[in-house]
Amino acid sequence: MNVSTDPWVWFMGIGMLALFSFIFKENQAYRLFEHIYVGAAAGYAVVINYGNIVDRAFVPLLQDGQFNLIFPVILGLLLYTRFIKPIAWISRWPMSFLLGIGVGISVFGTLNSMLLAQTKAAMMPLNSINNVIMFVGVLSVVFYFFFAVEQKGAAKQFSRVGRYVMMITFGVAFGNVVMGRVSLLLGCISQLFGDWLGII
Amino acid sequence: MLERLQNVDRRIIYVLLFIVCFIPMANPIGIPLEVNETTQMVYDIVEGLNPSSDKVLFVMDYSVGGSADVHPQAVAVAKHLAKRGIPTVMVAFVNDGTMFAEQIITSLGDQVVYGTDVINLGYMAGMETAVKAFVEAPKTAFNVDFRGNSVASQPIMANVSSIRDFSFIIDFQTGQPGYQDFLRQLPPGMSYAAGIVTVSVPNVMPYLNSGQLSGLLQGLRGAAEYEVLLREPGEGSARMDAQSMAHVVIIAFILIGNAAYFLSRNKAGGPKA
Repeated sequence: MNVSTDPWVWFMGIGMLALFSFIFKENQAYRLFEHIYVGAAAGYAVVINYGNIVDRAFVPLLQDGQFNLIFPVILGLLLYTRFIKPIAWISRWPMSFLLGIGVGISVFGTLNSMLLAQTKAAMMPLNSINNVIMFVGVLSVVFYFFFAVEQKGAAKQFSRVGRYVMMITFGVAFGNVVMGRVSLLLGCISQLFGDWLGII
Repeated sequence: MLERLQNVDRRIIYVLLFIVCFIPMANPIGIPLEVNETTQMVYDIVEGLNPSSDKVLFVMDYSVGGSADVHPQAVAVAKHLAKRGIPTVMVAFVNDGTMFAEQIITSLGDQVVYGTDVINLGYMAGMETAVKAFVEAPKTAFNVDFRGNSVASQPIMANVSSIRDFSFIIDFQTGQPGYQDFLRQLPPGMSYAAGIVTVSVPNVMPYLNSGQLSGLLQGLRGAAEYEVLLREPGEGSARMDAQSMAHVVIIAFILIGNAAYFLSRNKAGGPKA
């Protein structure tokens, strides 16, 4: 057993145990470390993002003479007018700008890579069991959500196939969620018993 | 009895899980691990890179919450790139990513020379907008790197004028921005792989099947598989036995719960109308 002498590792270990104590009952120790975690994460984000703004906006603007940056800097500052009631309406302008840019940037890529590429990939040759299963699965699931036709008879049966495919998919998704959460638990155990207590 | 089996106190499940995870980590069993095709694809890409002409973009888009799943993948791939002498440019679009990038560079020690073999450009805020800005102008997106050095003066960035100068992009992520943002913004034909949390695997598989992704590392298991291929056991391999045992416990509880449910239904005289 090789217990760590680093005070921050001790802090991590005690904090982790305090957060895990929520499993049994909510308690003051859990609340304390929950607040510490939220505060530390927020503080880190503030520092990193402040540095980002200084490095990417103010330094190029004031030191490197990139005066074209004044426009986005002003728009960014105008976002904060949201907190001043009489002029809160001004913040709608930069917000609209952000929304417009966001949509513009993503719409072409969404159509291309999310829709067209996936549709093309679904048009597969039916020369293997895998491909047949995928083809039937895609069609049946899409048909399950097709409400222009009354789902009775053969349509109802095909739609039911789609439902079963989705149920299997949700089961797979659940299995992956379980696996992911266990991985996170293992990370915690590794830090507690490895980095802190030196047992592992 | 059947009622109790259907409603097992969750604290019992947690304690059992904890014990079952701890024992294999303290005393490894050595359950054999088969390498997934998707992990092999990533490994083969890195193996096929040319140290004198190829550069890799190493995107660190994972946060602390999912780092237990993804960080071992990043460490394994970074070791492989360092071993092969492939210049690696690290960048982050999530604010935690720069911290992990520095950890990895520090752990590589003398294997890499900062500025020549590896660089940590830092974090760029803006999510998909930032990804687009970087893809359009990777050399000028950052004036200074994470350590305060001028990016333009670093030898590793000398021949980088467009995103196509990167032969391979690997993106380690836990959420947004992630593979979808890159797939929307990257020009067609680029070799792009992702290292993701296990939870995201079903959502990502369609992009792998369509060929939009060149490879995929699936959570902690992906890290373990990569370490097997690299023949350098690390955090991933160390946790696989415990992962398998935990799954056995969960499957057992699911079976017990379902068995108790169906038995109690039969006892009550079949399903109610």
